[in-house]
Amino acid sequence: MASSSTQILLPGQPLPSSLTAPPVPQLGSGVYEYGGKILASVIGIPKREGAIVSVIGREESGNTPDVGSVVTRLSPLQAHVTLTTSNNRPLPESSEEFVGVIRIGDVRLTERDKVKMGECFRLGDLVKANVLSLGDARSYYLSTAANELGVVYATSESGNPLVPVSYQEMEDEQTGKRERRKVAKPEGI
Amino acid sequence: MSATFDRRRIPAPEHSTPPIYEPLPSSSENEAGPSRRTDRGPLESRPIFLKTGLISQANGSGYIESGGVKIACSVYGPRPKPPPYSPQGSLNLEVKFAPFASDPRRAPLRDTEPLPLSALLTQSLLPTIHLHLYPKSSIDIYLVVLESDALSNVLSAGLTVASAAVADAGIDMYGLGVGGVLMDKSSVDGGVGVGVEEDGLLLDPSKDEETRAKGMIVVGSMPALGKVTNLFLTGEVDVDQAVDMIDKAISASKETHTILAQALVEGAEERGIGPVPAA
Repeated sequence: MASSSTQILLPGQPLPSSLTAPPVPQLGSGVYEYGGKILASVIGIPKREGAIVSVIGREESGNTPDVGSVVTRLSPLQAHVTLTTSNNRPLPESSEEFVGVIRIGDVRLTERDKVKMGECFRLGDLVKANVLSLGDARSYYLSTAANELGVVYATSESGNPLVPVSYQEMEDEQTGKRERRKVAKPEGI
Repeated sequence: MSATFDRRRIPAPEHSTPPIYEPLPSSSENEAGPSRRTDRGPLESRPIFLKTGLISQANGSGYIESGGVKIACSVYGPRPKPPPYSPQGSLNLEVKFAPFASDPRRAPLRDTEPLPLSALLTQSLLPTIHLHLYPKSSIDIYLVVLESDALSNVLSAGLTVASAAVADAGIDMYGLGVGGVLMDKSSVDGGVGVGVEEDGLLLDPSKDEETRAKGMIVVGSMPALGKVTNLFLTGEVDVDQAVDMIDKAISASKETHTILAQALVEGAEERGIGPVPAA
């Protein structure tokens, strides 16, 4: 039961009563509660999906989980990534980038002790990950320890796009070579 | 001769005469202009022009013209903040005056006026932003004053345009902050301004009106929530009168809020936030 309104709301404006009718909804993004009322906190269109109301604006900040990111640097213990999207929305463009770290223990759900970083990620891979915590002063701690998380897009050594064949292998369709990755389970399978 | 010619200097003619100007038709006191009170009453606010999204490099931006004040504001962020770690987002606000912003011209870098102005504006803007949603991040706001008249007008227009730009950047806010200025005209000089009555209160004073102020209040408020974010009082005012001035400034802020809201909705529609097709 998703319903939305066509009216643009501004920060501080209450959501239309049709969206906040009982049962009292939970607060999603872009809304906050003040004085018993649910108000918008960004410019956007209000939306109610099930029990959650939210206001969908132009962009969102990157401090929320479920992040798509690009691997920039690999070390035996951790992979450094830059965050590009958050909750399926692009992060605001700026000169500096949000950086994250996937530690070796957070790569896989099972057999964590046998993980080798080089067999899970390569430079330039596009990775889908969850944000574990805000991390240290510099980077967010990310995790790919779930079936649907891991490498989403990668290129082979010869530069061709790779296709997932199993949960830990991807294949270059042109050369037939297989490379090892921590593969994300493709959506819809 | 040509061998000794110095290319780096402009050779001036040996004789020169200054240009002769025709005298201006009227004295400056009654002259109409954007910053003067010609056809508005003492408690009538200035016309405002406001537009968002003009600076494409910034995450959000706004431009305001209010009387003799023109300010361009750009918002960058939320961007990652270098260490140390902070559980809340931090707000950096910087006001800069263009060298041509006022008469006489300002010397760049040595200008000290923007510093207290930046601090005041930061205080007025802080309560409007959900900073707790942006840990480890910073929001950078830059205001460039292209033209200025009265300081109070720069402050109130600055707050209005800054909250427009922050909202345009998609940053979570409690409400839109707008500024309002109310001045208590000194009764000593016996009403020099145009059409001044009604217990000597003036809304949005112009620069020459401001010089006759006994007391002045700049109010930052969020009319949508009925909250005041900051009060800046200069001069000497009775408590009762100060309360009255705050009330009047807030009710004037509501008009400004309407203009701000309209500009933001127009900006949002231009950016493609509009009625979405049913999924």
